Amino acid sequence: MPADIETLAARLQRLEDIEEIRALFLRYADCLDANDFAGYANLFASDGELLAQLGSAVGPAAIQALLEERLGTDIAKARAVSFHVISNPVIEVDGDRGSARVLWSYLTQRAEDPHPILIQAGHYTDDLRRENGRWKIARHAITRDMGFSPIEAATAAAAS
Amino acid sequence: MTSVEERLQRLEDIHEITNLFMAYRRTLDERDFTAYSELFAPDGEWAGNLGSFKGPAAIKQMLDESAGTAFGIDPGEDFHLVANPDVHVDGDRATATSTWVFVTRTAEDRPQVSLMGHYTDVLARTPEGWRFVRREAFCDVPREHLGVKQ
Repeated sequence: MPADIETLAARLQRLEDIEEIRALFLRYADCLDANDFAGYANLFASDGELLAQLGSAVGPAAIQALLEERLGTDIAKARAVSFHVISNPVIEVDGDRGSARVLWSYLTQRAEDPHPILIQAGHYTDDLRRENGRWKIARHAITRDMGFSPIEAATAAAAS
Repeated sequence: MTSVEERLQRLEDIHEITNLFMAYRRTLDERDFTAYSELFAPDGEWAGNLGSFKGPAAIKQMLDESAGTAFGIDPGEDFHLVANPDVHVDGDRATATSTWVFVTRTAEDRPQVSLMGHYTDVLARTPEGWRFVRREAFCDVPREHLGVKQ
C-alpha cells in the first residue's frame, strides 16, 4: 500500500533539513575564509552560543564583535590564505532541533613553500534550531585535535 | 514511471549509505574493530593493501592483527577524512566510490596527509540497514604502500 502524503512529506522534510544544515557548514567555512564576520555571526540563533579557543560569546552581535576583536585586520593579513575543508558530517534532525558533528581541516600557505599545508584539524559539535523557518546554530563548540592556529603563530612571531 | 515514494526512498538510501561511510571512518579511528566488522554483511568482503578478508570475524581478526604493525599509531594520533561520495542505488543493492585521506600527527603536533586512496563499494540493504558486500580500500598515494602497488 502506498504511503500517505503526510508520511512522505515528513520523510522529505527530514532530508531537506539535513541538506540545509550541511549547506550551513559550507557557508560557515566560506565566511571564515573571506573574513566575513557578519555573515558568520548570522549563522547563529538569536541566543546562539559560540565556544571557541579564541573566546566565547552569545548572540550574533557579540559573536561578530568577538571575531572582529580577535581576528581583526592585522591577524587577517597573517591568515590571508585560509582554506577550511568541511568533511565527515554526521547530522541528526528531530523536528525543529538538530545536532551535528563535522570534521574541520585548515589549510594555508607558507611564504617559503607554494604548496598548501595542513596546519590544524578538529571537530565542530553543534546543536541546531529552526528559527523563523531557517536552521541556525544554537550552540557551536570548536575543538582542535591536532596542530596550531595562525593566530598563535602570529602572536608567537610578534613576541619573539 | 517512478513513484514519489521510490524517489524519496532513493534519497534516504543515499543518506544512510553516506552515514555508513561515517560509521566506518569513526570505528576505524576509534579502533572499535568489532563495530567496524559489523558494518559488513555476513559474507561481506574487505580488500586492500593488507589482502582480502571475508565475513565480519575474518575482517576483525585482520584489524586486530595488523593494527599494531600496519598502523602502529595510537588512537587520537591519526584520522580519516572521507570525501567525494558518489552513491548509486538500484533497489536493494548499491555501488559507490569515495576518497579517503589518512592524516597523522607530526612530531611538532601538526596534521599531515600521510596516505590517500579510494574506496570502491558494493552495498546491500539488510534487515540491519545498509551493509558492505565488498569494500576495496586501496591506497593511491604513495604508489606503493605496504609493498602493494596500486
